[in-house]
Amino acid sequence: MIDIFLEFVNKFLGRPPLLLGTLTMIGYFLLNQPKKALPGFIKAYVGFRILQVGSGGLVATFRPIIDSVRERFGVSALVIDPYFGQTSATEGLAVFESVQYVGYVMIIAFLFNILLVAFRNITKIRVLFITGHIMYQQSAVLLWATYWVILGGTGQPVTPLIWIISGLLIGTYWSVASNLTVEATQHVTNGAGFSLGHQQMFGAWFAYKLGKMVGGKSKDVNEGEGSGIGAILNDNIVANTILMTFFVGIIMVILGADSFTYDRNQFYFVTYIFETTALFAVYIAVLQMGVRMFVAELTASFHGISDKLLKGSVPAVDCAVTFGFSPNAPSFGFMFGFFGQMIAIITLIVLGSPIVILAGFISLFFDNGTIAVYANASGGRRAAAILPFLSGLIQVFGSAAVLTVLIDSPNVVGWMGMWDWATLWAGTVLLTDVAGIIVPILLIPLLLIIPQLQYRRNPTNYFTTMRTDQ
Amino acid sequence: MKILAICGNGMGTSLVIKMKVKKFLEANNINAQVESCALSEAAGYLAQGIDIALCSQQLTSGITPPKRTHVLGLKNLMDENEFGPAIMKIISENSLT
Repeated sequence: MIDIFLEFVNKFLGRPPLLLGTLTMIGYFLLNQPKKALPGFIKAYVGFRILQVGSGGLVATFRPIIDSVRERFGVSALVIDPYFGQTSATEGLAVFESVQYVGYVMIIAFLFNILLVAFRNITKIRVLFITGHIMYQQSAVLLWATYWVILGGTGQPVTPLIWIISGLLIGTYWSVASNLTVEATQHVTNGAGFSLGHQQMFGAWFAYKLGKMVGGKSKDVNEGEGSGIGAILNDNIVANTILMTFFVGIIMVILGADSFTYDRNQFYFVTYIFETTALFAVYIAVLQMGVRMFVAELTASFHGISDKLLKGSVPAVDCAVTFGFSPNAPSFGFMFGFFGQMIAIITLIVLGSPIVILAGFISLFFDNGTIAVYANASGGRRAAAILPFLSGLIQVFGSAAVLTVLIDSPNVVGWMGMWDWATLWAGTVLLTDVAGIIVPILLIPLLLIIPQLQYRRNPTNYFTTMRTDQ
Repeated sequence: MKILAICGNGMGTSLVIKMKVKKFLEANNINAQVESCALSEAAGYLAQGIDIALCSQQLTSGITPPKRTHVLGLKNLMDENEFGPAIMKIISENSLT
């Protein structure tokens, strides 16, 4: 009997696409929509397989370049972008047959978030995190990083303790960090009734708090014309291709044409560079298509669950939703964040750091764009310039620091690079590397103190931001 | 009637608009097919014949709609009170079904 069960675990639950498909199917049954169960299963399964094609392609394109840079100069060149972080996580965990635990982590985290909101009288958590693609990404990256600093090199798969703690911790983060930005988001959006559910909630909160100080009474960034670079940044394919051609192109030029084996009859070196670097946009697009397919299914069930179980809870959504309220701020944040990242990258090179960072599009635009939106709300255009600039420095240095302990993980191509991941999570992973699993365990109660402090400062209006209409 | 929600990456925001719009249409007994996509894919979707395209207001300049498509640039993507009346107006003015 036990053998049959173990075999089932191995051949079914141990196959990530089957597991995610099954979870989606169960979700639809729970929501009383059995007609959607089979299509949901298939789309989650196929979506996940497409995602694997994308992340496999990213690794196959980028690893040879990383390896030649390492051989030639003794440094590792890695990209800071959530899709590169996610790829490092899933392609790394796959080597140890542990990708399926990402699904466990995500489910534990989501259930824990529901539980914390359900007991909001005690926990003071008002927000449910429903940004599906972020939930998947963060579950994957935290599990991978925690696993690698604790058990990396042993070759054994992820242990139950690690996936349970990772799940509880990331669920705590979703709850606490999104809850922290409720008031700031209400200000940014004129009381739209949602919160930030992304990768820079602590960053946005700091930007909002510090914005007042550094901005003084500078003009709102939305008075007057936009910068005009918005049109390019809004199209992710164009932006990804330009950025990757620029950064990876420089590296390929430095390595020289002789380092690459390609058919000299078919390519100039210049066109070879472009055709290689454009592959990043290709594989990111493939990866996103896959994520979108299975996340669309998951997000729909998350929404259903939140409407059904938690009437009145505040939903935490993608950062881009705030961009509509401050249309000039995101490209402003991009520009100044870009300066910050460039200075930090040059500093790393000059100091002879063993890790060199390549900038990625999502961190540059969506992360610093969000920082700029929140900074502008409290401190105007000066704040929307200074804080994304500082954020750019933090993103590079924090990510480079955490990558020092992840660099030997198989198939690593980068790290998230987003604000909270270059600060809170980089620090957590580095400490865990030193002190072990006790660090993430202790972080859970520590984070849960934050909503208590928030409540104590403003007990009368604290729960009035919650939706009453539904 | 076909409605399309568009955002930068096609990952989070457009999905949220899509679900909000679907809920609104169902509540008002309007039958429509609602899709979501990234800005970079929008041209392909629009070519298939979209009646109403919704997106954040700063993205509208990146969309070149065919004649039949009405583009709605929104400030608050989460707000039924913003997109709801606007959609109803387009539907009644053009007697879309």
